[in-house]
Amino acid sequence: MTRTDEAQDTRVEGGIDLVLFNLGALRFAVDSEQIRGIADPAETPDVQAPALADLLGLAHARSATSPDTHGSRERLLRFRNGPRDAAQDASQTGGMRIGEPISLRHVPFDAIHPLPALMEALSALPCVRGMVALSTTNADDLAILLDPRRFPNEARTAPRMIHQ
Amino acid sequence: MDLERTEPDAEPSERDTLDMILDRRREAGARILEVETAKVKLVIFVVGETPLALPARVLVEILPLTTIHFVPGCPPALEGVINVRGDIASVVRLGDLLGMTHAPSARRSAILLGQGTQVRSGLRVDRVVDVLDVTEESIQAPPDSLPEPLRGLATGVFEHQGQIVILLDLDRLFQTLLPEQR
Repeated sequence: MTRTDEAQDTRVEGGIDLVLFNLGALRFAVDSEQIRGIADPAETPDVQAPALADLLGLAHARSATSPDTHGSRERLLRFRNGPRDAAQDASQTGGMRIGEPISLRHVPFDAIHPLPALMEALSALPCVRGMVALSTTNADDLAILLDPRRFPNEARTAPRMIHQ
Repeated sequence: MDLERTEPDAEPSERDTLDMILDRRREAGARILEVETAKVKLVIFVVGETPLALPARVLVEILPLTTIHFVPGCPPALEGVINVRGDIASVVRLGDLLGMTHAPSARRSAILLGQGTQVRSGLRVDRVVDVLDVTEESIQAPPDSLPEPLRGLATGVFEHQGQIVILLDLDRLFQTLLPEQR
């Protein structure tokens, strides 16, 4: 077993760290290992990153997190590319705009649930992988687990540059 | 004609014979009863105004309506997921599968947690009416007059409290959602 495998095994047994954020009334979670950084879009004005709410078909959520309508700030979530895209990582790292607040939470292995079979068979979004139970006492405290490696290609490649 | 009373010592044997006859009759009656009353336990519920039923053996649980969490990317008939004591289950809007309009959510709304041959999912219904044993012979074949898609999903009809109840097949319901199995 390689060292990487051992590290992964330990991580799975002990749980994983998730980055949590909201889009409208929905709460989402992404494995922190898949995130390269969280930036302020105001500091990268040359980048026009897509909104995650658009990718997920949540038009209402996008308007709810829009700084123009509700005053909440947007953040640019930058994802790591998979091993196959390592060569592109430095120059072409996908990013998406999400709304604050953003938090980091360690959750145990058994808090992660795959999508129910019917849902997995019918979902049009491969990036929606499962559900996370964030509380052992509140059954309604759930987050939707996203896998950035399964975002559509156009969303994961280089952000569009704004030409003035 | 001799009308003398029967000898006292004969009474026990006569009672024994009578007891045996009655016992045999009771056993025979019980056997007949068992054959004639083959029953199936059904859960009767309502979607919109239509009384429907599913066999209780395919239903794991009847849950009160709880928070259904929307999951993006799913067809409208898949309303979302619920947390059932730590297990995540999908919830299907049964009315959408049957071409019926659900009543607004109310206190009596419920989720039937169904276990099909391959799929387990919750089914949202507007009201659970009854759980009862119905004799198999009282269940008739679904009439040709049933509209689609109801006709293809029904396995029979029966009368309950003056209303016709449509008995559904859970696997057929799930199959209507799974395109590759249509």
